[in-house]
Formats: sequence, C-alpha cells, structure tokens
Amino acid sequence: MAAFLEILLSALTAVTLENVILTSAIGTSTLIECAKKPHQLLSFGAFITEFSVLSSLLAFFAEKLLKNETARLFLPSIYVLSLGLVYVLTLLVIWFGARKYFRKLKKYVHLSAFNCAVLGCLFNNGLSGAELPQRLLYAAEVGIGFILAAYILAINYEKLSSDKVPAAFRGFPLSVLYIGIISMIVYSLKI
Amino acid sequence: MNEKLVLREAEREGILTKNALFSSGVIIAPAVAACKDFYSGVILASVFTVVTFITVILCRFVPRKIVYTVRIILYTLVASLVYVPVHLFFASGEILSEMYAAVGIYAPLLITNSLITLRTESKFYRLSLPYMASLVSFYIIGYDLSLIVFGTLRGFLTSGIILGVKVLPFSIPALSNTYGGFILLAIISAAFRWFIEIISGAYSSRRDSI
Repeated sequence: MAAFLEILLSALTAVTLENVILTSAIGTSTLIECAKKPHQLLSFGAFITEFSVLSSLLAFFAEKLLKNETARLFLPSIYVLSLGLVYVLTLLVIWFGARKYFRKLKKYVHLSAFNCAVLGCLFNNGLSGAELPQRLLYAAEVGIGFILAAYILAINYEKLSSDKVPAAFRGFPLSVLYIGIISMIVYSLKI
Repeated sequence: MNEKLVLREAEREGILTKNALFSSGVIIAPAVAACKDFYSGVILASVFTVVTFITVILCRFVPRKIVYTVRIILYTLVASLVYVPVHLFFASGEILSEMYAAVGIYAPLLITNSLITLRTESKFYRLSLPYMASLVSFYIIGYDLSLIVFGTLRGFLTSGIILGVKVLPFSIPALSNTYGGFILLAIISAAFRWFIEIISGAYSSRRDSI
C-alpha cells in the first residue's frame, strides 16, 4: 500500500510540476472553454488523453519513415495526419460501439482533436527524440495534466465570472490571471 | 448598409470587439509563452498572417459535401503545408533564423489556431467571399497588432529598456516567465476591454446619426 501511495504521489507530482498548460501555456484557450462546463471535464480530458497517446504512437512510427531533412520539413503534416486518423477512428468506434451516445460524445471528440495541447505534445515528443514508452508516458501526462488544470480552474470559474467582479476583469482576464497565479505556484515548487 | 460602413463593421469586429487575443481570449499560448519582445511578436505575427490568410482563403473552396470531420482535417493539413515555405523562409536568414528559433514550437502550433479550426465553419464560410476576405484580414490584423503590442510592452517591462535606452528605473524580469505572460495578458486584456467599453458608446451614437 505504501509503495502504491508513493507511486501515486510521484505521478501526481509529475503531472503537477510538468503540467504542460501551467508551465508552457499550451492549450490554455481550450482549458478556459472546458472549465465553463465542469460536468464535461472528465469526458473532455479522457479524449484529450486518448488523442495525445494514440497520435504520439502513430507519429513515432511515421517519424521513423522520414529519413532525410527535406522529408522532415513535413513533420507538421505528418502530425496532422496522425491526429486526423485518430479523430476518424474515434468517431467510428463510437458510432459502431455506442451509437446512442454518438451525438453527445462527438462534440468532445471534435473539440479534443485539433487543439494546441495535443499538437504541442506531438511537437515536444518529436523534439525530445525520446523512445516510444517515454513518449506515451509524456502524452498521458499531458492529458491528465489537462484534466487537473481544468479542474483547478473549474472549481473557481463561477466566482471568476461573477457579477461582483468589475466588468473589465470578468471572465477571460480574471481566468488568465488565476491561471497565472497557479502557474507561478507551480514554478516556485519546481525551483 | 453601404460598402464603407460594412467594411468599418468588419474592421471594428476583427480589431476591437472580437480581437482574438485581448477580447475573445483565443490563440493564447504563443503570446504567453513565446512573445517576449517586439521581435518575437513580429515573427509570430508574420507566421500567423501567412498561414491563416492563405489557409482560410484556399479552404473556402473545399466542397461542403465533404463531411465536417474530414473538412477540418483538410483545413489543418493545408495549414501545415502552407507552413513549410514560411518555415524555410525564416529558418534560412541568419538573423531571422535566430529569432525564429527563439519562438520554438509556438510557430508551427499556429497551424491549429481557432480561426482555422473553429471560425471557418462557424462564421467565415457563411459569408460572401469578398466580405469574408476583409473580415479575416481584420481578424488577422487585430491579432498581429495585439501580439506586437504585447511583446513590446513585455520586453520593455522585463528589461526597462526601449530601443537600447534604459527608460524605466526598475525592471520586472519575472514577466519573461510563462506565469508573467499570463498575468500581463490578464491586465492588458482587462484594460483593452475597458477601452472598448468606452469607445463603444461613442461609436454607437455616431453610427445612429449616419
């Protein structure tokens, strides 16, 4: 039990301190959108995690095929195609496996597919040149980190958008300020 | 409405009331994490302009019969292909390549900006081509100006220096961090909204009189 708790704590520390949103701002706009509807957090985060992990897997093998420098210029297109393939496959799996939920789930799939959090994960993985297990782990961290950051924002989103807040700061500016303060805390914990 | 007034509306929407960065709060990451001075602002704005404008105009001709999912994949694929010559241009120049390298992955990340992945379907492609082209241009100009102003102000506050001259008696180096970017963006965005509120009243009363 102690070992399990230790692993859990290490994972939580990694997800917090290496949180891609809080440390590099990638996916912030999607995060703010997501925090407006807290009941969607888990579904949305699950799809972001799925997209990050599966497209990292595809991109890893696709990158192996690009041998020369000229071909590597098209890496962004390769990442887009990897994401696109996961996007279509996900919709097909939901259509054939859980058709009655298709209408409800497809909006999460659409929003999760092409956003900076997922694409940023692919670019960072490509730059790191890491092996497949590390890449998949990082991709999972991005997804889980997204859920954590979205949760932190969602618990206070109503207050941040309250009528009591001066109109100029209400909503977006105060949410960004709030994320900035959380980001500062994470930064101070890291050093 | 006459043509001049329609253009004025597009200009107002793209640059002021629905300014992508300061009003709508989209495409935040490049500003917060990579736009740290005037030069990085210009580099990001240039990449954004070329990629977004060409992609939105080209993808206008993608047949609507194609399902939504595939259309979005096509739009992003076109953006990623448009990005290749832009990358080659910036990566080739000696001075440019250094500044370009400094913005890192935030330049290619602009291929999934929400003007391409969301606004095309929800707004731009529901308009006539000439009006859409002018509206997209104003949205792009609005975002570019925001990036450059944000970067210049951030660089100035970070170092206290402008055009090589120490102007401020203090500096706030923390603003160059990601959290500093978030905090500065929040403050500028609030000030921008306040400014819009003020000029909106004046604009409405002037428009009513036309």
